[in-house]
Amino acid sequence: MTANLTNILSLARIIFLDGIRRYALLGLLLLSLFSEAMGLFFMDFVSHDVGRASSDFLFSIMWLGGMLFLLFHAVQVIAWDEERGVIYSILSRPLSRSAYVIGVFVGLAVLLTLLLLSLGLVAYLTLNWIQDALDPIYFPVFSSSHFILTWLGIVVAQLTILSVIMLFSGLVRGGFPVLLLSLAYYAICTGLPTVRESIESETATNGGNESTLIFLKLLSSIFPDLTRLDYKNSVLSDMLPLSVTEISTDFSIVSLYAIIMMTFACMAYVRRDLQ
Amino acid sequence: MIRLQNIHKTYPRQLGTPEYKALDDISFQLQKGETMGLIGANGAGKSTTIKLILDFIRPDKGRITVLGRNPSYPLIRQQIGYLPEVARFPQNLTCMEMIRFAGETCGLSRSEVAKAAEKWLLRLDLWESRERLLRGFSKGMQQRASFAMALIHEPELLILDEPMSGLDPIGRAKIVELILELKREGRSILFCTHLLDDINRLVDKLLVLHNGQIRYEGYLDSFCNSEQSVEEAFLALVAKGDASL
Repeated sequence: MTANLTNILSLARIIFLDGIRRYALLGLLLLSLFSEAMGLFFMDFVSHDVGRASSDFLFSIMWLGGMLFLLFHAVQVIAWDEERGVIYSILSRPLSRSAYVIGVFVGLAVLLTLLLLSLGLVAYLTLNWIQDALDPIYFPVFSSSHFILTWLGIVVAQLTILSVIMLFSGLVRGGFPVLLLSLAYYAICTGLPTVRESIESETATNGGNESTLIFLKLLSSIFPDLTRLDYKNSVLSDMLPLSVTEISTDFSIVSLYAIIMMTFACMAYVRRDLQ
Repeated sequence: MIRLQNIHKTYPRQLGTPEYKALDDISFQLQKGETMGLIGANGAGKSTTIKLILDFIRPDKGRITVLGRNPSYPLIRQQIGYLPEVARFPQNLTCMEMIRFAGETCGLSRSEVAKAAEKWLLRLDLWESRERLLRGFSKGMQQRASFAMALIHEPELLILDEPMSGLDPIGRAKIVELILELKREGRSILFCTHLLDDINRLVDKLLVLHNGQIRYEGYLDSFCNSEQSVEEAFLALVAKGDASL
């Protein structure tokens, strides 16, 4: 157990070091930070509800930065290892296939969390600065604890997407197919709640469509609604949108889903021939 | 140390690639302290054999035992040093970081890694370059770094896939000398090559693969006589086998 943990951490460290020295990732970090700093100018173009507009803008940049990391770096890591033959140097060590998948996940998770942490910090400072610069009528409340909750929501949602990327990387060869599958997955996860909502309201009004609703509910267990972890509307309010129990349940369900995806990812990779 | 029994391996058909039979009923064993040369032309099945031994791929039929265990058991690799045909590393790491990874995964402490790294990096002329990024290394330096990774944990069994690949004559001579030293220390070595010049200096036993089948397994003395080089004997054996088909 301890040996396995040491192996996972050793691999995670090289994945982290290799990633942090990539110019593309440094570029992504700088671009995202620059875009967030632009939030200071952005507020000048908004006449009403400056706080909400700025907060939405900053969280969108944070989400986008994380997604760019996932779709242009994370989807490639296992594919690069296989295409370049690095996998043979790694798996010739006493490292199980599962430890390899978990090690890559941990390394990427640390990189992603650091990226989001830097963006979160700049977003927090920017929002504070905007609030200080404005009359309280335009930006009355800014809740630090709700800001952290929203940031945590983004981190957990994107780590969940990362676990799905690990699964796809174990199932198919090559970075591009993994990218396509991940994009399709994300599109379905984003679109499904809207479809469900629409069918639900139609069923409530006209009746029928029960089987479609059941099918959509089943689909939601495969393609979870990650917007459940989106609390950005609470950042500018003293009130939480949901109770603490409901929020904890949402986090637990999504985290459990990520653990299940990682288990499947390990199972898929253990069976794979590394030709 | 290594035992392969009736191994069959066929690579399945993939987009644009037909099904390919890589190994057809291969059986052999490497005993403790022996050095075996695995030779054959390109596509003979040498790399497939090595990938099977290291559990990178699985056989369709047959049984493989490495150090008394199934090769899928990861801990046996604490006693195996593997040198891939082409050394590949994550390009943004330094030589020392990769060595540290290799040592830690084999259960060495930080101080043991530092001591072993100094020994092998000095021996392989990489000590001065240990903090340089691997992407700046020449092909020969990468091959030597890979050798250092394979030896860092003092393994009992060495699997060397084309160890001389990419090395200049000086580097090659040093590696030959190192392999001879490891052989003298009593380590078991399986090494795969298509460069036959150094074979007679390095190996005790020879395994000749051609088109996925074993054409010869035995001692070097009985493979070629005093008037025939290993290369001539190999070509004659392959030609004889092809003619009988």
